[in-house]
Amino acid sequence: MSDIVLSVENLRTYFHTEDGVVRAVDGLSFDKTIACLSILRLVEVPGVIEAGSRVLFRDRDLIQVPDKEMQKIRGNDISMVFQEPMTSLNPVYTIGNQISETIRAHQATNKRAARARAIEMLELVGIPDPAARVTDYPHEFSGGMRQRAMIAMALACEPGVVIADEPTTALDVTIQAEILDLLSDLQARLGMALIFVSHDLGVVSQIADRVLVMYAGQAVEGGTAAEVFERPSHPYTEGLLEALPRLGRRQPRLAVIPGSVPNPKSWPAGCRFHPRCPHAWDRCRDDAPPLIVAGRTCRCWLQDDPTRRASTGTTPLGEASP
Amino acid sequence: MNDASGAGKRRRLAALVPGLTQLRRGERLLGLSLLMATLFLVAVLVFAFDRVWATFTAGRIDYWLALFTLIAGLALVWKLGAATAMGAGVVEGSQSQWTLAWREFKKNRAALLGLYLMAFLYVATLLGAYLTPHDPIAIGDVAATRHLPPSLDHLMGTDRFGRDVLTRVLFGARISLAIGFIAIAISITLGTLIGAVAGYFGGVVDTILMRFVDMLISFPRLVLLIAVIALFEPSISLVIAVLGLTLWPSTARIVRGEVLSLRERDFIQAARVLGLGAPRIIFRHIIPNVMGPVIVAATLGLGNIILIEAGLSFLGFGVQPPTPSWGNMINDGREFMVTAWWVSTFPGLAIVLTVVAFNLVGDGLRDALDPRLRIRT
Amino acid sequence: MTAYIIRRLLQAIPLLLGILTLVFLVMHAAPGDPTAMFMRPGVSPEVLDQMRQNWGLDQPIHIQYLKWMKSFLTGDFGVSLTQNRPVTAILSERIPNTLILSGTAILLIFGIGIVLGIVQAVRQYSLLDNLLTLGALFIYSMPSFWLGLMLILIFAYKVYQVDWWPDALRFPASGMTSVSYDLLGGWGKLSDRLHHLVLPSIALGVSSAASVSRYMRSSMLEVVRQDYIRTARAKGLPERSVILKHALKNALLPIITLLGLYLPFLFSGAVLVEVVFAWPGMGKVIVDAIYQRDYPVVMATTFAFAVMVVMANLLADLLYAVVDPRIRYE
Repeated sequence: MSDIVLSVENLRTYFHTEDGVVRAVDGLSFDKTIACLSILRLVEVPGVIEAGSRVLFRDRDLIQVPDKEMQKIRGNDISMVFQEPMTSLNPVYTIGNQISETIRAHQATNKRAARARAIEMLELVGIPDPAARVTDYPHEFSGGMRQRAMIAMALACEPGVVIADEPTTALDVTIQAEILDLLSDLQARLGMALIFVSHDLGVVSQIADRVLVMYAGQAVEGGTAAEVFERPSHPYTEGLLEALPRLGRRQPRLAVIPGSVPNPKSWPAGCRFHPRCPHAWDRCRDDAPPLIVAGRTCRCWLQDDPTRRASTGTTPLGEASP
Repeated sequence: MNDASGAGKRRRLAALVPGLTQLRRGERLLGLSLLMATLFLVAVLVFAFDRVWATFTAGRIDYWLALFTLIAGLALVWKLGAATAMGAGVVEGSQSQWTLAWREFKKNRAALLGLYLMAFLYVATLLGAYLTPHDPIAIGDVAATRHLPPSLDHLMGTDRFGRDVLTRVLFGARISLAIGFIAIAISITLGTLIGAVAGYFGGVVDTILMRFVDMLISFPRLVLLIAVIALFEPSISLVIAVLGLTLWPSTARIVRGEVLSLRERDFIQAARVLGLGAPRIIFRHIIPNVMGPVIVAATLGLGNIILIEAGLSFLGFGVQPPTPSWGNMINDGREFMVTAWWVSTFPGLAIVLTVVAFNLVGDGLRDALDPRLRIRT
Repeated sequence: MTAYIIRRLLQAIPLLLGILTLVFLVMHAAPGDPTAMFMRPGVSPEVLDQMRQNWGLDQPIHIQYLKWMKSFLTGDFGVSLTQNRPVTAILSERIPNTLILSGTAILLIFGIGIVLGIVQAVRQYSLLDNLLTLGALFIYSMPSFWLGLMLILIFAYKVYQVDWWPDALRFPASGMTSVSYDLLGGWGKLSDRLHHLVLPSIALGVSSAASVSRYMRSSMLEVVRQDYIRTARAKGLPERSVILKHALKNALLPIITLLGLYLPFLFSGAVLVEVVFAWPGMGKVIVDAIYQRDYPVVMATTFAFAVMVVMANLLADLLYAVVDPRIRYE
């Protein structure tokens, strides 16, 4: 068994709606929630994971696994923390019930043991007085506490992979920091792989070892956090980093990436980023660049032909910073 | 040349018969329904010709009613056929709430079916006198004609006085539908007004009106109705009045809810700032905006009222024999069910069919008129 | 919780007083008075005056109102004009019968309605779903009394049954018990009563069941889209417990409020069904009383019906509070 726990290849999830096919996830790529749900095979109609997609978990292709098996993997081997702690917990059952239910679904334990484990988990995620709070209902928890409970639920069976889909977006800034600390602390302590989906670059740089940048339903660049943040190679990543306000640097206006994200029903031909790219030339309009995985992972024709970089274009930040 | 004129002749012929043009163009549903309607009306004209002719001599009011329906029906079908044959359809660009709603409604097969069913019931009811040769009330040779089972002569059999059940069902429909319509008109008007006033003014007015609504809703409807009717001599106008005066609370609740949310909207606030008086704001700005839910409630309520009226007449508190109504016909047949099942069965089927039609149309209207539902689907 | 119950109980009191007043006003708005039924050639006007005096009808209306309120609130509903015994006695005989019939019907309504609604939601747009939707449409468009008659035609009248009609599908057409009821043993009595309940409770309940199934279907479909259902699936719970545990309890919440809404309809239906099946309940009492112009009985029965509706609404609210943890401390 290789040390790669989870690998995703050529995953494509399309939504066949009346107005056209929405390509939510295309190629080896992630489109936020949909990609996460695709890995767990929880995409609902009209969403379909197209044939040929492969999600390898410990060398098993999850797309091919029978439903019954898949159900055993969910929550047990791969679990998920959702974006909305306010609505992701069932309002009519107690927190304890919802955590111990997960444990009992995957392990042969009795009610009392599962409950004890639920209290243990609540303690682990930093809920004060867990033995009393275990009988509380979700509405009696604050947003941050609910997200902690969600994390407790996700970790209850000690899964190999935890997917966190923007787990801090719906929370206050101070609570965000707490949850981030908690996640990275638990990740280090329990030794699980954490897939952290976010559009907050600050958060990503803080928590991630490796980063995969996505644009328009496709992966465009990947590498270690240091590589991606200090020496970005894809124009989109460059634009993103450029758009960050920085302490200690005075700018008359913040930089922006011109234009807006195209409609997923009809992605642009060629490179999906070309209408907004400062370096784009004919080739970008006509041919879609492949994702090259050689040293640095990148999906851009500039890799072939670095001389095409427009002189007026932005310079990589790593070099620009004093 | 010859060929072209032949095609032209055929086209002209098709234009004469409503529906043919539409069928040629492939609009099957529209074409077929127009054609069927035409055939039905013409068939009535041909097969009941002696009765149509008798209209001018017999001096019976329902003959005149049927004649009027026949002419109006033919004119309407022909007009509709001509209008849709021109391909005019709905004028593009007129995007009013009602055009949108109609477009939405047309997509709903079940609702359209309900509408056709409703139209058919009405035409059949109004043409009643032409459709059957029998009299709904007059009693003939009872010994010879009582409790005849359904046959070609009496499609639904005869009752204990030897009267044709089909004829009575058709005449009963007229009374049941008329009672339903007038009663729903009264209760919807009252309900809308009271609901709008309660919602708009709020405060004490709202509390008093709504507590009264709570009280009325606590009585089982039929119990309240029979308790009130019991105090008077039962008659059709009493039934209409009592139904109209006791069924408004549910409409009032719906309207009040709508008004409460409308009241805070900008255009109402603007009207207030402009200094418009309360009656003007209620009638010009609020009521038009709650018409959608009110129309839905009215259509669904109509089905309900027909059921209630049938119940009242069944108990003997509604329409009094010998005037036929579906409810009292079912009651009539009850004693003799062991020997003559048809007397009670057919009026009941008529009720079911009518109420189904109203419910289908009401559901379709709700889906078409309720913007919240429209977004959701 | 206790505070909530007490608050709801207190809210019901003015409502009941209002209902009582309404009953009084309606009865006194009518032309003529109860003595009308004794008005016939042989009875002299003096006797009628004497009757009015006995019943307090000669007093001013507000005195009558206060007296009447006082006696109603102390449980004295007067004496039946036709049966010559206290209305309370009549009602206490009949109310249980109506409760048995409506109770069975409620079980049917919610049992059948909820199960069908779940099945339809899980198999949305399937042939089964469409057939059930169509069937429901026809069933709730049926008048209950007609449905009752049709059930009698099919299940009770031997004349219309084929020879091989199974005995298990034969049910009595009227009454609560057979003529030979007193001769039966304990189990025999029970099965005889249940046998008599079958047709009336179906006639009474089936149309509301159809309507509940519609609500349940849309409620389930609404709940299934919620985030917490996705969470439940992501936890690796079997689909069965996702639907029957996580979705069902949430979907039931709006259905509970239907209980209060349906009861008035149910009692209206009970009046008709009791007449059709000669079921000796309140509905039959009020109809008979109206035929005989027995005002005290009409008033008391109307009031009793309204009280039962108010009580049921109260019960529905409490049930809601039990099922939905969020409501308790509001």
